[in-house]
Amino acid sequence: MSVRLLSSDSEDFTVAKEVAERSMLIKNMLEDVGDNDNPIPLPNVTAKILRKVIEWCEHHLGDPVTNDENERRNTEIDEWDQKFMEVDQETLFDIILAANYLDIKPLLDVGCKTVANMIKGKTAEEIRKIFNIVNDLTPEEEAQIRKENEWAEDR
Amino acid sequence: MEHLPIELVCSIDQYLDRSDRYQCSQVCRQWCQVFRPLLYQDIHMVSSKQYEQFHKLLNRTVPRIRHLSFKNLLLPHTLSVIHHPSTQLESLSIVNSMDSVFGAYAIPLQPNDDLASRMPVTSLFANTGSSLHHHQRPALSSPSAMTRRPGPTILTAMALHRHSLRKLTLSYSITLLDIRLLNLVKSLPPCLTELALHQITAPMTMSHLDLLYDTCPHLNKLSLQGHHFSMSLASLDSTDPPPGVWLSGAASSSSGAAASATAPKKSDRRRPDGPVAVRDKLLSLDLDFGLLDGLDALFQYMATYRPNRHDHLQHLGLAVGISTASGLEHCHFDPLYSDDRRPTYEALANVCGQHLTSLRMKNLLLTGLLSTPRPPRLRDITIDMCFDISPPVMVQWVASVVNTIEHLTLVSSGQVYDPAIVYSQLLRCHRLKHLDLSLAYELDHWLALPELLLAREAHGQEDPDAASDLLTPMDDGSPTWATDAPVNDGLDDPKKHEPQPTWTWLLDSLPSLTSITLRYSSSLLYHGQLWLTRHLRSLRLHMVLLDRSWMSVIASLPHVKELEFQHCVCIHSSISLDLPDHHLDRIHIQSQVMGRYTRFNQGADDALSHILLHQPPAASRSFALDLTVDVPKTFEITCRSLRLLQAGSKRWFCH
Repeated sequence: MSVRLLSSDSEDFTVAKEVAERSMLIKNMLEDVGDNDNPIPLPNVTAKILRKVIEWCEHHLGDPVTNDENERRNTEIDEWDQKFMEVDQETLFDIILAANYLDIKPLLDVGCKTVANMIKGKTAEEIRKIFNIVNDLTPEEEAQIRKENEWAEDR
Repeated sequence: MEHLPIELVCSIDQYLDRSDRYQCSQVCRQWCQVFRPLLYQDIHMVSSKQYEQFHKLLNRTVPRIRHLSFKNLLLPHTLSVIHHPSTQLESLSIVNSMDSVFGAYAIPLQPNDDLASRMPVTSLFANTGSSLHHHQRPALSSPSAMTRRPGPTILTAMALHRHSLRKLTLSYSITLLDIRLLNLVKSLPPCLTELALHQITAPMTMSHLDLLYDTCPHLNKLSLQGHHFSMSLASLDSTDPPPGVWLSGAASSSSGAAASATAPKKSDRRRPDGPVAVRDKLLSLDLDFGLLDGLDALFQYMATYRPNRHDHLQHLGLAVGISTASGLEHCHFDPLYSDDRRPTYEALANVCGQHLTSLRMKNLLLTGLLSTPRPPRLRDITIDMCFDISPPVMVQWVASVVNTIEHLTLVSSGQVYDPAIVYSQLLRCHRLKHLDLSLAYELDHWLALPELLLAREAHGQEDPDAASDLLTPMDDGSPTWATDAPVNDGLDDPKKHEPQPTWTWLLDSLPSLTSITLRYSSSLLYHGQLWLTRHLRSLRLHMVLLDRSWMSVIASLPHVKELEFQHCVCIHSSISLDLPDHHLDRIHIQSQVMGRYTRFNQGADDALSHILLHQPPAASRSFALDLTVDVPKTFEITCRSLRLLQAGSKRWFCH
């Protein structure tokens, strides 16, 4: 049993139904539509990203689903996923946004953790550099933020 | 390059801690809008100085505070923050209030007890300019007018956050009279899902527990600690109200305070409770008391009075003779021969055996447990100082749930002379992830421990000049224990060291094992290759003699990320831990090294993200200070902070 997916740039993908159903969005769609040979249009996902997402879903096909919030948050990214996420930032963000749109929670988690790991332990200046962000805070605003945080620094 | 989309920024915050969020709030205006409120969501205070700083902020408009946690703070300070208008608390934790005098009045005998108002809290409270107190507050003209008003108490705090509070922890030693305990239990917010009441000094009875279940019908998690819990069911069955009820009942009916609204109607408790929605069922229950009278009665209560509340219980923790410093002095019982502590566990197995995944037993007699059917899903077992079971027997029992067990804590009540027996049973637990083992218990045994002898032979006299040694690299080829024990590189050449069959299994048979805690210096000889479980990520040593062999063992673990040393002793004047290829996330040292020091050569510069150092226990045990040292990323500073610790200085301010 396979499903056809249509990326935003009109590339047609045929994937196994179990793989496609890692996406809650597609799963719900399939349930609503029933058996049907028409491709499912995914207007928010390009072929490049969809290919990555399908690769991830195929690799994680047999994964157990955990509902424990803490467990989900605290498990580390496994080696395969780390390799998988070694892409340029734009692709990384697109994968995360696609995971969000397609409602693939575990992939969204992995993506967010990857970004969080880029931030952890860095100063604001370093974070700006990493993500190419311009600082538009005035010195007064910065001083205000620092002031508000004094209590936490001081013991 | 494409910018990080802001909705993505919003969803990563859950993976960041406070200091990261603070840095994020300074990145740009958009990020500030996302992260600034988060800095207020979760407020954790551990000192009066912090309170004073924070209090200044409270005079201005601040974002909503959802989670408050106080440790070692004066109760009036605590209460003034809790009563601030920007707080809509979902969780509240008060641990170790510093003032037992006020503490006693914080839970008044009557809901509007006038005594509370005489405490200094009123003037502090006035500073916040708040009028959210449920009493109408006049303009603050004279302080004398203030003092006649009832001040904020724990009970008014409960009333204020009645509809939002989900999690509550109260843990501070106050002379909690029986009547105060009842008042407190009756005033608990009804929506609570998690409750921890610790340091309960009043004798607790089943009627308190019963009342608590009535007041908080949605509890998922309950933890009670105190001096004495009398579990006789007589107090439920008798028509007489439990002690104190008539008094507090009279008080609350005359005052018409909020507390009385929740007072449940006493009915015939012999009938079991009605159906309970699955989300309201109790999932975790912990009872730690200096004295637990009649556990059988508790199990009976769970099985016959409130079966629907307990039938999904996943965790049960029972401990007797616990650590509340003053807990045991009131207890007159013989730990070994009290029948009360020889429960049969059958009722327990009947009511919640199916769902139980975690079991923690301390100082209990377990013979009865061994003869009851094992809960089929048990994953997490803690057996701590249970007198009547020897570790091998216990491990055999564990072996009967071998297919599910993931966490195992085993603290022996006596020295085990042949730990290999224990290990051979552990072999079969192929899902084991965390192992916490203590097979010897007396510190006096230290002097007789093999690793100490070993070290003496290997290294001879200690270096008298510790300080100079700190600056020179170690070059003495530390792993010298190869002569009489399997050595750390045994993986590469098994023949060379011929590890005994008993522990070779550990090398490959337990790939799941990622975390080991060892308490009390069990012999390194026996543990030998336990460390070499290649996937080990976390190693915790408690009360272990650290020597160079240990350091070389640690250095040979390729994946270790977390190291913890608690109450450890260094037996050399200097020990160096060289971890050039390791990426440690955390080293945690607490009450380390009596009179000696440890040195860590950190190979990878930025691998060590933070070091936590704890002061040696102060004379007063009631509030041990937590010290956090912020990332000294360079080796020199790391060394300096450790040296400071060594100096034993109680005031140290290293950043």
